[in-house]
Amino acid sequence: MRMDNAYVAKLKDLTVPQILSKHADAESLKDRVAIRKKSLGLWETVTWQEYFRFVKHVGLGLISLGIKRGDHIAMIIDNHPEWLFSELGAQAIGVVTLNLFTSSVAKDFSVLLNRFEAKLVIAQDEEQVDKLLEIREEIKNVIKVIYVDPTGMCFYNDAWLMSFKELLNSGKALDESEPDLFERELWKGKNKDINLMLMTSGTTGIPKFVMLTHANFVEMALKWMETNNIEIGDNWISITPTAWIVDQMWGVGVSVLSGMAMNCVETQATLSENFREIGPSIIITSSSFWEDLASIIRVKIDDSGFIKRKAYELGLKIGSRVVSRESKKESVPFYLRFLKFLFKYILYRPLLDRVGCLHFKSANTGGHPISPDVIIFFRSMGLNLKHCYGLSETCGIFQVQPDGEVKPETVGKPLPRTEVKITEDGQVIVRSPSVFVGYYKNEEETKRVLNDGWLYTGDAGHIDDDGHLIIIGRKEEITRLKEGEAFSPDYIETRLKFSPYIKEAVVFGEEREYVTGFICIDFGNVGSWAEARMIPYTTYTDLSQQPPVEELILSELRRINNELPKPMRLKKAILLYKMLDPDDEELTRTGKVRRKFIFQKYQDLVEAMYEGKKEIQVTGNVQYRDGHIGKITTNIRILDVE
Amino acid sequence: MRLRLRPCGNYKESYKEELPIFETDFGRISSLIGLILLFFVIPFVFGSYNLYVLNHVAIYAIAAVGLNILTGFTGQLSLGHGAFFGVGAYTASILMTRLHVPFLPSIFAGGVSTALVGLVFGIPSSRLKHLYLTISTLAGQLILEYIFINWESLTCGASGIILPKSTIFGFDLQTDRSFFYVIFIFFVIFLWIAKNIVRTKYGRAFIAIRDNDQAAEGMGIPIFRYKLISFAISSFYAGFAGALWATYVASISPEPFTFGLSIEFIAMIIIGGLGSITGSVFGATFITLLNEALSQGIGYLMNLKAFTGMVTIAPFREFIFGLVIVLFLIFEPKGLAEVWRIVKSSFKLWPFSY
Repeated sequence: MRMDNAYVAKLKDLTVPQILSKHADAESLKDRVAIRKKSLGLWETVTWQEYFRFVKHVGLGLISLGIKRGDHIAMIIDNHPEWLFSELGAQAIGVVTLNLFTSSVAKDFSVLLNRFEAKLVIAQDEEQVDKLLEIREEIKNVIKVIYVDPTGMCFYNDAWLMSFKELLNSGKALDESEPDLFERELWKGKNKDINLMLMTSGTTGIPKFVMLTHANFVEMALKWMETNNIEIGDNWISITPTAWIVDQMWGVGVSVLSGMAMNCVETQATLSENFREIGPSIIITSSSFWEDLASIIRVKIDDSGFIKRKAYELGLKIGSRVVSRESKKESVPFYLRFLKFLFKYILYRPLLDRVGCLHFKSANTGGHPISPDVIIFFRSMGLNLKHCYGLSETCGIFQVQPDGEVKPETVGKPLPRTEVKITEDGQVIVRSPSVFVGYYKNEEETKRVLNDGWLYTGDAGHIDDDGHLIIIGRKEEITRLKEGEAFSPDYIETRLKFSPYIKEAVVFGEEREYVTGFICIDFGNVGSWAEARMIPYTTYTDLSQQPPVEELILSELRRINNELPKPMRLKKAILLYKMLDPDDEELTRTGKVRRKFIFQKYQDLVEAMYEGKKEIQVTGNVQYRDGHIGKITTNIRILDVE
Repeated sequence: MRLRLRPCGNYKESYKEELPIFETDFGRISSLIGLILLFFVIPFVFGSYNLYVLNHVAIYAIAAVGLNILTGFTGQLSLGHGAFFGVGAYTASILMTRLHVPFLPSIFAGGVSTALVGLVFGIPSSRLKHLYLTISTLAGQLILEYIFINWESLTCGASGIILPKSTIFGFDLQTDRSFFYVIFIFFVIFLWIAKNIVRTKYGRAFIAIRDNDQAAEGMGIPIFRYKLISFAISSFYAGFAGALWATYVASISPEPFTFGLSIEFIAMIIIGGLGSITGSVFGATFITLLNEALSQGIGYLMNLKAFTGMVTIAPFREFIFGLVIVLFLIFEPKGLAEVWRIVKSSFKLWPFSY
């Protein structure tokens, strides 16, 4: 059952918490499940009515702590119902929120909290509270820290800290003494108000804060509801970090407007199990999710028996033939269609069931370019996997492949009320009601990207004959070889990463004769590959330098090279002796490669690949999780791929 | 209401939803199809002899389920199950011939009386464990056998009892087909009850006693009471099956209820799988079919000219029987139930292997 159109039309000009209050009063909706959270083996539910009550108590609790309309609060919180309660609770009383990454270190918090001028922080657990206590002197603005998970907190006798439960209780007490207060505050809100801010990924420098309004989220939700069959009670599983746009646009936008249920997993360790139990209806996630899933499937198939393996190979062959014919708009012969129908029940559906992808109406991959192979892989199995494209600045995904005209290499067509154009120098620009209002306290940057309602995305791309957008990569990253041939490192890297044995790849070649790259092996998959062949190894470093592993990766690289255009082929490669790590600043917190930084850090290695050396000795610093720095000295061989 | 055939998307919001026997609708639908086949197809497709064999399978399966509750779940090995089977058979026969009690009350009385006898023979379990308890149940077997033969005023001794025609709700139970329905309805009901016993408080207590009786007592399980309950339930199943058997074959004598029958029941649950309800059914099926095949095969061989006068091959049956049990203990000690579980999980895990 879909949300009633007339009802939705009435919600259009409201703020998100106001919409929630309407749901809490709507007979048909108030007792339906809004949020589910797995806890002690059961999916505990929160109905729309209860949801609103929590939001109300959080809002009033904040007021009782002296937080006023227009103040800012920050959240360092995982995907739990408390995240939504506090976010909407704050927004209900006109407070702007910002989510920080729970994996960030204390130093980052201090910079970001001060820039954001946060008056209060809602932290997940003891770990986050400890980080905040460490920088307490630097964040004088923060009057209170609320912690959600009370585990291990009983000996912290500090008036600066307060549990989420106490917050709810003080909200409840205020509600009893002043019953009208919340409604008054709630309806003061306008949908043009800023409701939350998001950090940009910060591949270059410190993250900027993207200011988004209620109207942005409502508009984005309407776009998705118009183009997708989203029904009340459909399931969304909240697994991307709360500091990303994806779960924000769903938790704050689409789920509230469409009546979809948000599902929170028990812990990271139970994610795949919980994912399968819920069997989400729609998902938008990063390309690495699908890449990982594809390699998990392959590895598991490799481990299974002869019949299962052959059935899988045959099924995949049939599927990919059908998909390639369909994408070329050729007719599919009857026997193929019949076989595909047969394998739907023999292979595809059981397989999708095992990985929890059985109930997807639409599955989307965004963020980073993904190898078309991955898309074809999943589409062959009947999963409606589509490439989509969006930014924090546009309040989420605005570009999706329409059903029935999926082309693996494009990111599809714009959603309704969205205009997309290409500038003369090949940059993608976009205009729609869900484009953000500006960066917080950064007029200069705002002016640079916002012009006459058009957002300059900074991505290079072009529009093909069918009107599909093709993204080539970050505009500043498109580079040329010495001979002048253009190549996109992203393009090569995503194809390399499709190999189950390659976790990360960084490609160089700007102003050089040929392309070279660093390869980080996938420790889990290569490890089990080595175990199966009785190759002993100790650490990541050791495994990555084993001659048989080099052979394995070389054969993978040669295979992938064959699929690449000539100038883009990898000539030399190095198996890096450590994983790229955000703690070493090699990746951003969102997992994007900081290519320039890596280039500088490993310049010796890069140069060695162009000097024709066979081997190079390196002494690398490795920062351990506890902060202290160790040294590694190894000889690294340079692999000749071609 | 949409069917949920696969585990994906099958989330539980309350403990009540965790209770059903079948996790998904797939199990429910396939058992429904199985029941339809059982009651509406098999009786009309199979001939009289096949139905006769099937009826025996079901009767032995009921008894084997009972023994499995006692031995497989509670860990109390009983060598007297054959005699308990006999107690039920005799109770029903005596009630029907002497007191003209109708069919249904008689077979239930068979079950109840055996449960009482089982309680009596379960009393030693308060003091005895393991081998000693086994020997005491063996004593029970011998005592009961003695009573069957020598209490002639009640049991008619070695000459046996001929039972009158059974009727149920006015229907004559004469053909194998009509008995098929009676037997299999009870079979399904008793299986369902047993399945539920072992996953409730009682079953869990039984399993706790089997795994470590001292720990179980430490956890607050009154082990003597639960052992007696287990004996009673197990004997009820045996007695009920015996009563059904007596009314089905319509004449009884002490001869079948020997130590050999007890051993056969033990063989059923070992081959089927200790501690598994479905295993008991597999075991009963396997042993009954093996018995039938062997006696047919031996009969055929004995009539062949080549064998006449050379050696007597009648003990061949016992030989094969022993061999099968030994092979099972070596190659699949967990029994047919384990084979079934492996096959099932292979399909559940399809197309992966873990």
